[in-house]
Amino acid sequence: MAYKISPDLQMHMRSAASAQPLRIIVRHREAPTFIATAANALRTGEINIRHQYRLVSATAMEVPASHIEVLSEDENVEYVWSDLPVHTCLDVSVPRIRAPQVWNLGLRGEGIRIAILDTGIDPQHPDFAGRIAAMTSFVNGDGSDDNGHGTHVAGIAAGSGAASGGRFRGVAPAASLYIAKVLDANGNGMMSDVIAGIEWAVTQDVHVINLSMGSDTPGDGTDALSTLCDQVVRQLGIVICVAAGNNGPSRSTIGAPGVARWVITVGAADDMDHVAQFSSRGPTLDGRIKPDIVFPGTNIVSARASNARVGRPMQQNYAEMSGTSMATPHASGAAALLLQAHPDLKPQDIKRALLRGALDLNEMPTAQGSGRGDLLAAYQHAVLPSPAQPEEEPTLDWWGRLRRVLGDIV
Amino acid sequence: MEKITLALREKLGAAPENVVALIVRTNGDPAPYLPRIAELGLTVRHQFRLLPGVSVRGHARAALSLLDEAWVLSVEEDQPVTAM
Repeated sequence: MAYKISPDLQMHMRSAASAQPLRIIVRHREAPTFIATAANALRTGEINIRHQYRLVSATAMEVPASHIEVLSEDENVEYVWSDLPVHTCLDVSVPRIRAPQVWNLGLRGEGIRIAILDTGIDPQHPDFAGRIAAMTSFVNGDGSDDNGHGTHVAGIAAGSGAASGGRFRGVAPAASLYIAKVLDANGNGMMSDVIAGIEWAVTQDVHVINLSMGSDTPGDGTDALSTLCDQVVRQLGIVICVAAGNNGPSRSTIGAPGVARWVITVGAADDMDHVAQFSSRGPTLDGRIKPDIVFPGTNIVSARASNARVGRPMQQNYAEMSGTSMATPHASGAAALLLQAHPDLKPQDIKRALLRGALDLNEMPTAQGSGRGDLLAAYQHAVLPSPAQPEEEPTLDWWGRLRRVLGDIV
Repeated sequence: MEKITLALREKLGAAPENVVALIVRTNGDPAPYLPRIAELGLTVRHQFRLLPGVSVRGHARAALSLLDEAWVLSVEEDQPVTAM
C-alpha cells in the first residue's frame, strides 16, 4: 500500500528504527470507523493521537515506523503524510500583521531611525546595505554580530529582503539602523551595558529602540533599567519595544525591562494565532497587566549573520528562530511606520494605536495583552491626540480585561 | 525610601569578600563622586547621565560602605540580561 504513503514519509520510514515513533497525518473516511480500527493499538499505547480534525477527515498521530505500512492497508485510510515542521517566514508573519497594506500607502520607514540593542549586526548582509547609520559596542568588538541573534532581530524590524528577492522583507524595510552591541557572543550581558546602550541611542536621536532581551527575575519596574526606559519614553519621546521573555506559561514571569510601565512589552504568538507557550506572562510583581501586546514569534525566518551560532539555517542568508525576541521587532517596525505616517505622535499615542488595533485572541490579558498586533488597524487608530487628552495608563480597557478574567474564573 | 533592599544588604553582608557588580544611582551627575568611589576600592564600568549613576564592580564590603555616602540614592544588583 505504498501508494497511500507520501514519498518523504516512505523515506523517513526506511531510515527510522522500527520502534521509532514518527509524526504523521492520516486522511481517512469516517473518523469513528478509523478510530475503531486503531482501537487496539490505541489501547496498548502504540499509537498516540495528537489532533483529530473536524473540517477535514484527518487525524494527526504518533506511530512507530513499523506500524505505518499496516495502518495504510486499512480500507478507511486514504493517505498518510509526514507531519512536517512549519516555518513562519517574514513573507508570512509580515502580511499577517498587515504591514504590506501600510507599505501600499507609501510608508516603509524612510527617515525613521531604529536602534537595535542586541548582539550586533552582520554589516555585510545584503538586507541592510546602505542603511546601517551607526554601529558601536559596549561589550567587545565594533558591533559586528558574533552570535546571530541581533542580525535576525534587525532583519525582522527593517531587513530589505534583498538577498531573497524581496521575499524575506522586514516590517520597516527602509528605516535606518543604529546598532549597539550590548550582548556578548553567547547572547548574555548586564543591565548596565544595556543602560549604556540606551544612552548612546538617545545621543543618536533615534525614534525607536528595540530591546529583544531581558532579565529572568520577575520585577515591579523600579529597577534602574526599567526606570531609565520609562524616563526615555516619557521625557524624550522615544518608543521602546521590549521582549516579554521566554519563561511562560507560568504567571508573573516577566523581568526587567519588560516590566517598565511605559514601554511596549511584546509577547509571542504562534502560527495559529495563539499565545506561544514559552511567552512570559504577567502580571508584574506590583500587579500591572503585561505584556501589552503579542506579535508573531515562532519559527520566524529572517536574516542570518555569516558567523551565526544560533538559529536554524534555512538558506545561506536566512535562519529560523523562535522567541519573544522575534516578536518584538515586529512591534518596533510597526512603530516606525506609524511614526513615518504621523511624525508628531508621542510614544503613548503609538502604543495606544497598536493596542487598540490589536486582534483579540480571546486569551488571558496577562498572556496576550490587548491581542495580536495588526498594523493596518493600528494605522487607522493612529490619529493625533487633542492637547487636552489626559495621560492614560499604558494598559487600556480595564473593565473589558476584568470581565474576561472574571469570566475565566467563574 | 531605603537605599538598598534587605535581601541585597544581607547578601552583601554574608560574603563581604565576594566581587559584585552593582548599579548605583547618584544625586546628580556622578562625576564629582568618582574619586570617592575609587577610594572605596570600587571600579567604575559605566557612568550614566540620563538616570544619574554608575555601574561598579568590587568587593561587597566596599559596596556596603557606599550606603553611608549622602550622594548615593540607591544601590542595586547589576543583573544579567539575555537574548530572548
